Amino acid sequence: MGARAYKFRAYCSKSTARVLETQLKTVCKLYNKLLHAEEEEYRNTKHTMGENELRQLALDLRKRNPESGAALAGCPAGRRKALPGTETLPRWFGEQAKEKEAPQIPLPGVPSEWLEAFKYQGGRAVRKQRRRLVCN
Amino acid sequence: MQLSKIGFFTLIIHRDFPLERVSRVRVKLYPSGKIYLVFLVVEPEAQKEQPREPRKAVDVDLGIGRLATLSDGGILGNPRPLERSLERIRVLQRNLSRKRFLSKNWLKAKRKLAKEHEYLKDFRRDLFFKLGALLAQEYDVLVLEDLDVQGLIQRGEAKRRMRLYDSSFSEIRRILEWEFRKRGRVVLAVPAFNSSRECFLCGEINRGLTLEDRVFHCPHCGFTLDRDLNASLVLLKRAGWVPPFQCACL
Repeated sequence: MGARAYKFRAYCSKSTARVLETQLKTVCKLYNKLLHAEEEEYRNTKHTMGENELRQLALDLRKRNPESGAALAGCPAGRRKALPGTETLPRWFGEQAKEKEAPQIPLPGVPSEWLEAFKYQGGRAVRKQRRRLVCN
Repeated sequence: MQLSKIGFFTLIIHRDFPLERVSRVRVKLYPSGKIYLVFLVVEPEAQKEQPREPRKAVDVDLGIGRLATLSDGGILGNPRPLERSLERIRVLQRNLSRKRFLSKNWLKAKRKLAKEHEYLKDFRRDLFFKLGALLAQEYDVLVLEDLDVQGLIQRGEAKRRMRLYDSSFSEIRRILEWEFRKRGRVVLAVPAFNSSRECFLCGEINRGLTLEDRVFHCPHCGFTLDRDLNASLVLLKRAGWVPPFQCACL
């Protein structure tokens, strides 16, 4: 079975582009963090990690460093699936985001207003509120 | 098209593809801000073109002055995209370095620069794909020289190094190979050692040939031919192919 790729240019609004950009950056950052941790683990134990171990590592990272948890605090559930081994995280991240405001993510090269736009604001509830505003 | 949690995207579908066989969708965001959606479609084996009996062969000799010299006498000049737009890139790079880091204007300048580099990349790829399609339609066998591009670059001087990077031999080779293999054609890689110095007619080596000599003259048999064309014919000979007598060089 072969595969063929069809590539099309996509156009979107500025806000959608911003969301996409921030999402990709966040995922990239978290992925790199996990990769770095995995490499460090390999250097120490000389043992390659499996999927389950990687998942556990993600949880450990979250406990060890609140920043790694914050990296996913503002992102929707769909994005978390993009990372292998982070499927168990969404509930915790969602809860944390509701309870208290997530700390700022130190993303080099990202202006603060982008991060503002990316903050978790309750997802559906915010959208509903916006709709109501339009109706009124 | 709607991607969950991201938003709506407008696509211009310029090519039909079977939506029901899409296995994966990938979103690509380039530094210039352009967004692309890539649909990966699984193809059954039956759709692939069957390989046919090889009849015609062509050799592509790569170079800086002429990007590709074909063994049938065809020549593709080197457009040198980077060298041509280097002045513009310099200006953009200077503008970027003079902006305050991470300011809005810095981001705008960065995007402009990325756009320029992306244009160069697209220009090159487009040219290579067109050349590949043209050759793959006409010929059954492609003979390529097995160049050590990294070694060439490391040995070269600054100007020559830049031109080698600009010519992107590895990219052209990869694309030509892909175009031929996609159509079920044969691709052969032959060693490129002494291909320019070897005489196509008698097989002797002209040790006195330098890079400045653009015409090959054999001191043993007196055979004279364009340097690149001679090299491409030698490579074709090394691949075990006998060129037809109505070849452009004879």
